[in-house]
Amino acid sequence: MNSRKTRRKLFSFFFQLPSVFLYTVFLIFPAIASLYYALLKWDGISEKIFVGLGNFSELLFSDRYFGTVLGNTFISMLAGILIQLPLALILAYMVFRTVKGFRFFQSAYFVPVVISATIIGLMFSLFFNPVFGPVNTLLKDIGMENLTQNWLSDPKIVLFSVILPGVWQYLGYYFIILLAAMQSIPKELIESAVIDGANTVQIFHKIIIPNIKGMIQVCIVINLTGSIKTFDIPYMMTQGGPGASSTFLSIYMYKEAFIDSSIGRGTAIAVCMLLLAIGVTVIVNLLFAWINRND
Amino acid sequence: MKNRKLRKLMGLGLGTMLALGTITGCQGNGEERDVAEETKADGSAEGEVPTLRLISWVTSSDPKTKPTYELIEQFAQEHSSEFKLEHENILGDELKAKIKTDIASDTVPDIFIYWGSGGNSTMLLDSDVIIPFDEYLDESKEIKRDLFPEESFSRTSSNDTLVTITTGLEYGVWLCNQELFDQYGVELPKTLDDMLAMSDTFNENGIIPFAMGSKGGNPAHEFVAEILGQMPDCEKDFENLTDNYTIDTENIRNTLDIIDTMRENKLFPSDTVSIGDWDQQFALYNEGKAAMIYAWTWQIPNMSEEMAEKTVIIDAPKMPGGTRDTSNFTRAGGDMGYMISKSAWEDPQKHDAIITLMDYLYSTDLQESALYNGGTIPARMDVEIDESKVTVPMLSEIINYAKGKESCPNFPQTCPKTECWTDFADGFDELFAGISTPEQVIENIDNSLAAAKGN
Repeated sequence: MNSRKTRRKLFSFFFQLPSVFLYTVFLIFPAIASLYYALLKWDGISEKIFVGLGNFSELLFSDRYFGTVLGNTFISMLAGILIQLPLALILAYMVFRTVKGFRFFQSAYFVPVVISATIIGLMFSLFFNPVFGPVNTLLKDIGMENLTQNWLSDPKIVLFSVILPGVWQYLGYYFIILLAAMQSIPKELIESAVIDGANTVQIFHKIIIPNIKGMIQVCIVINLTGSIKTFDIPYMMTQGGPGASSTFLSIYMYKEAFIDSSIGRGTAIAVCMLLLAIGVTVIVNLLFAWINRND
Repeated sequence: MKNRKLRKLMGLGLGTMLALGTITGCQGNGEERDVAEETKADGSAEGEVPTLRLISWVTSSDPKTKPTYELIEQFAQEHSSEFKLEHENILGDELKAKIKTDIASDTVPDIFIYWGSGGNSTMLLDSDVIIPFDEYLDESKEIKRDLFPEESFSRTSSNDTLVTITTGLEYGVWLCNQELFDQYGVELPKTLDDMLAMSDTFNENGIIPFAMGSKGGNPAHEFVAEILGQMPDCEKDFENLTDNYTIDTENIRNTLDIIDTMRENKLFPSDTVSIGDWDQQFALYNEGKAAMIYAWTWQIPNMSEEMAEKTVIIDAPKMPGGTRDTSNFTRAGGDMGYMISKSAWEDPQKHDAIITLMDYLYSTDLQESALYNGGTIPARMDVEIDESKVTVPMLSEIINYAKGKESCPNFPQTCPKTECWTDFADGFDELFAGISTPEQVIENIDNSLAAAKGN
């Protein structure tokens, strides 16, 4: 009996070996290496100098931009949670309750997700172009010239100009996840609620939300960690400028590591991103555990 | 029972295949390459032929560079008994990230195009990634220093050591859309005051007076250097930056104040980030939306025939405090040249092949092809320019206007440390967008320079 158990264990270990190997080589090892590089002053070429937590203290206490960059990243995370996910949820519910054109809406909302983020960035750069772009032109044409803006160079506006395309593009991603979750709810539940006289809002509030809570939690985690990694669209649109007005952590990391050749500082920013991602994931999980306990 | 055994057997087989696939998959490319390297087209052994990895901006997908790309391929074919060529293209600023990643992973290409300016090349030279270019010139029988203009060497040197020679010369010129000036009855500007005076007229008619922007410091940094170039003894300001790590000088203060005045008087587009970077800036002029531009010759191939007919070259308008005779002042540039990896150079198998390939990369054949097909002005002085073959509009005119005039350096060339460049770029972005004053820009850049000096 024992040898059978051992054989089974060995058998499953044997199956797990390739994926464990790949995971270790391509994820665990680079993560550990990053922790090491973050403790160095290194330009990627010259001799490595160990500076301990020097890169982190520089970033936190004497860097001109790091506070702004961190703030921008938090605003991007908030935009994801407060605008993108609620919109995706509402749209998913509307399509879920749609009888005609279900497949059309399903595809239409998802299309932007499959377009390259670089293209989206370029496209929105053109939209916001003050001379050729349709946004200012449209505002002028409809007599709202006072609303025209320098969308990409006004530091008060630029952050929202670069967040908006990302919100639009990935809306469909969360839409499709939440729609799939709604479709997995037994139809009988909704039918009986309808028979009992529940209206659309009540069904949404009392049946849909409690049944897809797990998936909402997953979406929040994906959304928050995705916001921390935001890079391609804002980089294409503004390269993080002017100054650091539209710089997020990943752009700052790229500039430090690859433009300024400060691999140590760049990696320290990457470590901050990792810690932030772990932190928000833990908080979200604790929050949902607490909600589930109180339900 | 039988079925269970069969399932187990199949599982075991599948697991073995997975494990083997993982292990052999990781080795696959290496084995294929070994076989390819060992076998010639005629099937004979080719163990002695080295593989040279070249990174260039000459691509097969761009019609302007395709003929030159094909010439390189043909040359490699003809010399296949000496070396095998792996030709890669990484365009624009991404090349910096690519080379730095390659250096960190010890896979530096044998020959690669790169910025020769000190701010970019010093760390490559100091860390023995590349060789001093004279080592190659000493051994080459075909390429010598005296084939190229002496004044171009300062742009491709790091602390007086030549790191490359530019493959092409570039000129920065002031262009005006004569049709727009005539249409609105405005004289071509000769001074800053003239420029400020024309601003209202053009803005009232929906025309941007001067196409200029700043995104990642482009193209603004060249324009800042152009204005600084008019100031008395400006060379000392650039030297001061390199040697003393500061831009806090009277000339630079004056220059940034002039730019701020231009911005305040709405000479530039309102959104300088949207119009920033080379292509967007040039498109604004090329589409007839701007009356003037300060452009570089690498942008000229994008000019339409129609716009070329309307365009005139003017002497740089005189700036307050400037002492330079602007009729004899056109900044010349061009710091992109081929660099040679030190480890490849020291590899006896690759050494001679590198000289052969480098000789061709700087040959008159390639210089002429780049000029007539893509509009790159030859760096070699022995290339006779046949104007009838120059297909890029206005290029001959610009060459004739600019050749032999006084010039001055730029900031990437004189920036002492690579790590400070982002602060220059950010500073210029902020200045042009009007979110930082000239004083703040100088202070921020100087802080960055001071920190770099301490490192």
